[in-house]
Amino acid sequence: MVKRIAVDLAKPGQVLAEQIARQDGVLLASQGSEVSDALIRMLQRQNIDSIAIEEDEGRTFEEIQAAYQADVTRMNEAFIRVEADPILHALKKTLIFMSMQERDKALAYLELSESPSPEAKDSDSEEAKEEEPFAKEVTLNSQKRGKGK
Amino acid sequence: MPPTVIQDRISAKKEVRRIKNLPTVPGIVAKISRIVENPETSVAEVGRLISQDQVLSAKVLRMANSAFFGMSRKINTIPQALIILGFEVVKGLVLTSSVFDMIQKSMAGLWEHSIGCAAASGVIAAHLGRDDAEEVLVAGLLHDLGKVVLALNLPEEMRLVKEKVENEHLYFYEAENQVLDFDHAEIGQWLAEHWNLPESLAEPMRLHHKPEKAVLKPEWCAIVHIADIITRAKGFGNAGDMMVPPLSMAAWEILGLKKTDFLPIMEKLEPKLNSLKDLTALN
Repeated sequence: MVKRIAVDLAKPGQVLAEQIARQDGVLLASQGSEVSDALIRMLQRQNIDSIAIEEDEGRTFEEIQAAYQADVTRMNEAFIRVEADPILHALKKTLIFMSMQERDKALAYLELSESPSPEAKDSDSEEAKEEEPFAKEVTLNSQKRGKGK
Repeated sequence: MPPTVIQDRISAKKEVRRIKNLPTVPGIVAKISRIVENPETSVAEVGRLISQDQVLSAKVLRMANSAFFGMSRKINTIPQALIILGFEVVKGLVLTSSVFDMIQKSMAGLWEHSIGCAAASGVIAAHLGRDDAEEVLVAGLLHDLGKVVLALNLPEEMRLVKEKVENEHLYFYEAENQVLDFDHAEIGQWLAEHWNLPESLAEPMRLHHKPEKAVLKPEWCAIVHIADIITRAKGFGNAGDMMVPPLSMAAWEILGLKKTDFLPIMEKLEPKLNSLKDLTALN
């Protein structure tokens, strides 16, 4: 969901839903980039008054959880005929972690599954846990895609 | 197999062959192809030709300025687009814009699948550091054009294919092969020949399910193949069935991808897909 907000109300960590350009066409920030304090100050100096952000924060915990559940259900059906493929399984897990907004876990999982060591097996034993409804910490954490800092 | 079915298959094949009243090449595309055969033709002339059709130009510019390309400056005119994106890419966008209505009408969700696959192709190509990412994107955009022909010219067969997908949990191309003995990839090839599309675009249309057979641009076929998988995995659009097709190991290996590449690719793709929803109505 895209929401237009005043620059003065922007918060670090929000994600730009549209690029920001000056009247003369000079690009100030590209779409998809993360709002930082420095960017907010710069936009204020440039007299930009509103920006479009990806609105995730409007969702309640229940909504996020429901969306996640729907995602998992859909993916289980989508992957039904390729479950045995380890690469596609890794894709599915990546998407599930991303749906939980757990970037770091996705990264850890992928790195482990990429390594040839037998440890890689362990990561799969976590499966049950991952596919359960959210752990509590996830709620608080729900805003975050990769931290910029 | 009862003879009637075989008979039907043969007649279906004939029918497609006969589809020389295949959708005709969009006039503008034919014109462009003609004038660029002349080595004297300048970018400005091509630009003028495309710009004459204002509705088309507007569609092309919307795509050129979309999240597809993530341009830092707005592209305002067709000549600018030609310089910045290159001739082949603009031609691909012209082609896509002129068949847009056809794609939209043929199958619900196919346009979304096409733009999703295009974006994913571009993201994968850029992730691999390729300098032809925009062109690969166009290949992704057009890869399923054969389905459009199926839907528009063989509606009865299309109905049977859909029924099979629904009842037997088949991939769309499996159902096509059962009903017709060929699939949209092959139809795409015929269409590409009929329209005189470059082989670099025809090959991914023909081989996105068998990228290991590619000869001219194996990487392009491999990228579109994986982009198709990713788009389906995301559930973006609907290409006739909602399942993730099998991965070709040859495609995976030729690109040198690793599982860890999925995360940066998906992170780049996701915001693009969100903003590409704007392109779902091009008018």
